[in-house]
Amino acid sequence: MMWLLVANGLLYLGFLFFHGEWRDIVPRRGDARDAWQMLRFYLFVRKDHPAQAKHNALQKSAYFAMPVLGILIVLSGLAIWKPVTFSFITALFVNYKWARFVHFVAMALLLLLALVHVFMVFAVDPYSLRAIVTGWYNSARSPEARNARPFYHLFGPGRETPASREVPPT
Amino acid sequence: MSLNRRRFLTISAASLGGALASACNKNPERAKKLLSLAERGNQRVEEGLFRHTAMNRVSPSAPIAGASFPKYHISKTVPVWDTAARGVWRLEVSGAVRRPLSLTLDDLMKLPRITHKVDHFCVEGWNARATWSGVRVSDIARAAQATDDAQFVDFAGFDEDYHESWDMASAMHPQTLVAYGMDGYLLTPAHGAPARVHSPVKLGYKSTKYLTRVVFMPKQNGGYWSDQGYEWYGGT
Repeated sequence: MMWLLVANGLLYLGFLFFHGEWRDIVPRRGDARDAWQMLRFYLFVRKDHPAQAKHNALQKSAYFAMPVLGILIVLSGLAIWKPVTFSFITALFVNYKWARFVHFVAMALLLLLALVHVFMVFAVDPYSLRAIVTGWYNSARSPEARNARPFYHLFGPGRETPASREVPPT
Repeated sequence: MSLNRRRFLTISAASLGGALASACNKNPERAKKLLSLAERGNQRVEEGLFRHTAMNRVSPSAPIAGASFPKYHISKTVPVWDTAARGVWRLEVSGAVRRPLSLTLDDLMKLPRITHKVDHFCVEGWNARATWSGVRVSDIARAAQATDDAQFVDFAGFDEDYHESWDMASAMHPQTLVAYGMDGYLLTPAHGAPARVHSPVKLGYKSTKYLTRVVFMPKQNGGYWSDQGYEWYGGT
């Protein structure tokens, strides 16, 4: 099972690298500021959705953290699976105990990110479910275009699109 | 449309999960077969990775577990060798050997002694350090003149019917000992007196305590925990 997960992870990383998709998630200067603005938007401090590229800054950091955590999990996993044969990998994590600590914490963080990720799909961008299957994304319905916060639909449709005013009579 | 897809995804996920669950319940033999297939695959990888030159190195200043070294046996009470009832303790070395041995503790202590500080890795996830003194299993194999048929070794003890069999390569690792001393003292009954197997290259449950028999064999014969579903190879 774990070998299947590792193969799957390698396939993903290979695609990310050779297809150039890594450019969408690699951290860049200004990400911290943008992430702060996204947080302000989600907390109703800021009214309009910050401008974004393919992903917003919070997504970018999460999607970058996931493969990093995955690599940490595989390495620390090898370190506690074969602490004698792979003692050089165990040494990367100082010792066996720290390798176990890293393995557990990285697993918990990855699980947390995955749960938040799936939550956000349903809470702010249910239209992306279509993109999972078709590969085609209608950006007119992106959270940015709809000014969507988590559970935007619970706050009524009027909030997202400012009602257009009637043309005043001359 | 998205609702349809969502329903489709839900139904397919549920049916896949249900099929897996019912396959395991209705046909435990098939599930067991799949798991043992995975274990055999893992074992091949582990045997391929195993090297006699890969050693467990512990820094000389690293602290030892001492009194907090976990104690463990399967009998209801700590097994103690009863000389009055069973005579002098002896280690019987037999099986695929040209010269079967029957060693008293004194005989064992006359063989080349190794003293090293190494880790003990438990399948539960903890590790504990101790300084072990004893004889390399490879030196015992040489003394008994193990034949080419000796592909596996079974280590059995007097802690009820506890035993675990090993692959020859792991048993011949230079850090695999029949240990009679721990942290400078002869073993206490809590730690497997008079002698036990100890090696950092296998998980703790493979290292039989209260050792009485070392049998070289052409085939493996499982073990106390291995027969209950723990990985037979159990290497580190």
